[in-house]
Amino acid sequence: MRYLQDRIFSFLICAFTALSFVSLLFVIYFIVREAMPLFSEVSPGEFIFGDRWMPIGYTGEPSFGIFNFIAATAAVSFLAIIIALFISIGAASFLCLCTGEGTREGIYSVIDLLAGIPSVVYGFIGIVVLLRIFFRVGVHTGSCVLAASILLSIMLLPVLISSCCESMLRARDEYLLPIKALGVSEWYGLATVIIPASWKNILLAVIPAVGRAMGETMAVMMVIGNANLFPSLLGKSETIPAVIALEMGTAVSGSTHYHALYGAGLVLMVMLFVINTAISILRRRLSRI
Amino acid sequence: MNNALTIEKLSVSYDNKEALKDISLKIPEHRITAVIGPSGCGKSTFLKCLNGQIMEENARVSGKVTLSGTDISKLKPSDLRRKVGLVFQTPAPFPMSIYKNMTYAPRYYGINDREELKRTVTEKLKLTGLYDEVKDELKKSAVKLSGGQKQRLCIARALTVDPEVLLLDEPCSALDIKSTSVIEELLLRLKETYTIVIVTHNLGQAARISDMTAFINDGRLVEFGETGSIFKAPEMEETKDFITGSFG
Ligand SMILES: Nc1ncnc2c1ncn2[C@@H]1O[C@H](COP(=O)(O)OP(=O)(O)OP(=O)(O)O)[C@@H](O)[C@H]1O
Ligand SMILES: [Mg+2]
Repeated sequence: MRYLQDRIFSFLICAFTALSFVSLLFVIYFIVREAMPLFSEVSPGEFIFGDRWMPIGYTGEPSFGIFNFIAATAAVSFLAIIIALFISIGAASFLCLCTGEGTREGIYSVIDLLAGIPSVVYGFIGIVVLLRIFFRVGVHTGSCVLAASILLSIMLLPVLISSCCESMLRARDEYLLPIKALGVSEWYGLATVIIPASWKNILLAVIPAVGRAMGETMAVMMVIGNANLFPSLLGKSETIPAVIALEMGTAVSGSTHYHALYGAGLVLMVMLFVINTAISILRRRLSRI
Repeated sequence: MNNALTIEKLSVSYDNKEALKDISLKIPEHRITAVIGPSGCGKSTFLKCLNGQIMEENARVSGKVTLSGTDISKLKPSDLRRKVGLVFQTPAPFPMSIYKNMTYAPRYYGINDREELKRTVTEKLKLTGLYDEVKDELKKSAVKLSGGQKQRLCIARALTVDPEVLLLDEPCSALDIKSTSVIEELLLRLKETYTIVIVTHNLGQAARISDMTAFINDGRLVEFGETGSIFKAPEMEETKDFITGSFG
């Protein structure tokens, strides 16, 4: 009986694992298949490095270059991660050294609330709060890359704060007493021992955060202005997910435009893969110290 | 014989539970004083009182501890800890190179001269017998040392601030016999320069290396005296029971 239960259980686990793996393969296969026809008409180089995106030839030749979208996606995500990391490490430092267990749990639950807010709502808040501020200080219409990055960084905070805090708490429990036993102040110890010791685990949390940042569509789309321009802090731009979301509905199925949107999705996936690999390599470097 | 530490009527309670009751003793300079007693009797608490760590926990402390003439409650916590070092049961070298572990505290206290730092590192590593083992790989991560080496590094690191007193809380309980005897030898060497207080569960260790022994039971100092007489002819029945292994 026991034996049978174990067998069934392990079979179920294997089946579910296989299922999720297969569906992942399927998604990749589907995207690649839908993107392939594009490359018989547009060369990959032109597609990736071209900066003219004119899917329908109203004026002149149609052209499919997504360089600006790639750059914007990378820029917005990078900035958002950097901003969010700074805030998270600051918040985690506070939670590590200044609060007891009880207060920390309380603050956690408030931060977790942030994670439950739908991204349209973030976008809305972005429009009425952030864009207004940027407009006041003189940014034309207020929409810009920086606004999108700030908004996105706030959306990343819940996950990053809790994982930063978790890894820093672990390092604190290990090193704080020996640090203090040397007469060294706890803030100095935090900056020189505890945070460096936590980097490896913090980077582990950055991997899903990058995925989240690069894939975030709605909120970014609402504040970035959606113009095919090379990203600059206070200028408009457009990210890959935004292009896909905005144009997929109107692209004629089977047209080059349609395939180009899948191509953009493929590029996004490859970017994510490359960045995640880079972070993993960085982590391995860190753990060798 | 001068006394490095004088403890008078020291009592500590954690949320109304007394951990130490009215402890008075004098810890002599350049001697090894062992603190023994059953688990939970308050040995670690006693050490925490000597380096001021107890002040940061929510404990009520009364009594007076004097370090070569000055009341330690009058010292700034960082000054006190430079004079009274503490080594923990689990060695926790910082995740950086051996050299950086050793220069960490001196640099915090403003020593930046490379020659001077190098001299300190060499001197303290030699004191702990680690120098010959690691002198070619000072840049190696301290995390990669063996357990016994890590603990000796932690002792050396505690010495980098030139304390007067070195406290050790069960420094060998995570180590094998060989590493333990290496550490025992090194402590015997260190007592020339430092006053040492060691908490240990290993009665044999206390008998081997200590000059004085304090037996604490249930927060009370039951007996304090020369190690030889405590182990051979304890005055109290309780001490005798503990040493012969009837309890604890
Ligand atoms: N931070 C604290 N808060 C509350 N009670 C504590 C605290 N630290 C220690 N105690 C209590 O004080 C008593 C003495 O603890 P202490 O750690 O000094 O014992 P010990 O002799 O070092 O024991 P062991 O040999 O197991 O290390 C114990 O009953 C313990 O439960
Ligand atoms: Mg203890």
